[in-house]
Amino acid sequence: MHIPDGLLDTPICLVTGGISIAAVGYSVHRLKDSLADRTVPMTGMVAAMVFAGQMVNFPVAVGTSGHLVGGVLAARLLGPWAACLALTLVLFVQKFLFNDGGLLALGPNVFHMSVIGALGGYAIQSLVARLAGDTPRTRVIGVVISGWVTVMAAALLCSIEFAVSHAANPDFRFLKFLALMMMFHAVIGIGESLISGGIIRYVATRRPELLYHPPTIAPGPWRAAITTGFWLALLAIVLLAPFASSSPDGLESAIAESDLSPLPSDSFSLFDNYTAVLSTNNWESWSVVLSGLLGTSIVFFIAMVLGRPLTRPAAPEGTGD
Amino acid sequence: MTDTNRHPIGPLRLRAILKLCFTVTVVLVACSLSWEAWPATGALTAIVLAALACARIRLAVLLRRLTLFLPIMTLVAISIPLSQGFNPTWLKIAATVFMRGVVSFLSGLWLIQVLPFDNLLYTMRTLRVPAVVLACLSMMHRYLFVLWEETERIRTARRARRLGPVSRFSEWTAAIGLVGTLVIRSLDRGHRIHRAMLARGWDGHLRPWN
Repeated sequence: MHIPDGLLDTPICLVTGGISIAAVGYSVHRLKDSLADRTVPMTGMVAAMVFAGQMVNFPVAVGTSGHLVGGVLAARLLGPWAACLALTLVLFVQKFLFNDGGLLALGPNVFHMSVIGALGGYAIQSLVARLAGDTPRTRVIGVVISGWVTVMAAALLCSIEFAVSHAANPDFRFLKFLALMMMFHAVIGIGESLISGGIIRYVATRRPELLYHPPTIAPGPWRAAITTGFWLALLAIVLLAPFASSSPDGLESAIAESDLSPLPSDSFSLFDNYTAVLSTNNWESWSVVLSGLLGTSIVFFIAMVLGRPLTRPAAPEGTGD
Repeated sequence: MTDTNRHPIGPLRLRAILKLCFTVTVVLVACSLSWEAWPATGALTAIVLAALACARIRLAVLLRRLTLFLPIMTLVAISIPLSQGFNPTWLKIAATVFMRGVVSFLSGLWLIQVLPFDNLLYTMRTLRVPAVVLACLSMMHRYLFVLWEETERIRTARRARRLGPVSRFSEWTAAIGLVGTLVIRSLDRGHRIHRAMLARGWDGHLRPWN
């Protein structure tokens, strides 16, 4: 079931929406390289197929039934990037054609089903293929495992988003809610695994050429990977830093609970507690963001300088002397 | 794939953008109100119901959609007290979530009533949504109902071949076979469409829409 509006706080929806837009935007960017002119017909068709496939009910118990989610299935059929876009389109059409799910909650829904379901599902399938070899049997096993893990991961994330949304409620018991969510979704995850694995097995035994076979690509230039990582880190800081907790972290709590002497507070610190850049009142969130941006830039700069000798081409053989 | 066309904002698209803005505003306001602000939520509900009446939504449609939605929203709303116990604050929390969900649902219902999907696609083009996304979306919209009908045909054929009651296991394998067949037919159809597009000169570049 899709998350409706009203369940999660607006800032949580906006943050997950920002992450989803970044992930789907990156998927669209990567699509230009992977499927070329087949992108439009195949992505649109698989999106329509997932939508129609979700209409098929699987009986669970008396009066209840489940249905396909489709993220890991689409990833096995189209690859990660097109699958992420296809699932996003499914959710978009469900909202704007059938009013299913929330408008603000489109962010968390895309995050859970498209980003975690398709991209995360494909990553798990690739991991299984790398560990156990890429055979028809391991492909089905990969889909089964990724089906369960992505549903559980989405449930975990949803619980955390829910807890952050209701942080002001002193009676809210996160662990109890998490236990309920995980128990409920463990069963849903088994259903998703069985359905997705069964469908992939059905297709693989009849038309194996229809499944997605990842192209063998030579590793790209290291500069592109570093630049992408850098921008993703900056994006994460801008989106998440304002919501950073002011509570003590694990180390501070451990020090507070032990008899260790406290950390010296009069020593010089460039970004004291991440809020010293703009120390004016009411600017703490922006100060945390700015501290994060500066800190990340410095760490990347140090990594680039230290890693530079490792990326230089090796000297040709026989010229060492 | 390159985006070769940009449309200016015409009156039709301006109206569509205003409708989108109205819905987003209603949802944002509804989601910021708590149970204590029930008069404001009531006023907001009245505005949305008036908008639905102006959009000439049939009462039967409205009631049918609410009949499907309200039990689900009730379950969602009481999921919080289920996890924290039914202490004195549970009703306020559940009512807040319920009110927010219902007002947002009604505004979404209004939006799909007054904003046809093709108009939404044109508006998204104005808002600089990437052309490849819009092309995939329009392709999905085009074949959504085709595949829906195909699913029904496969389902009817399977029912016709079934004699008498079947076990739960058989129902699952039949449903998996149904979706598996749908997957194969959809991908085959996708390949056929792709070849037809190539025959008509498709080179991955999107042309302007009219």
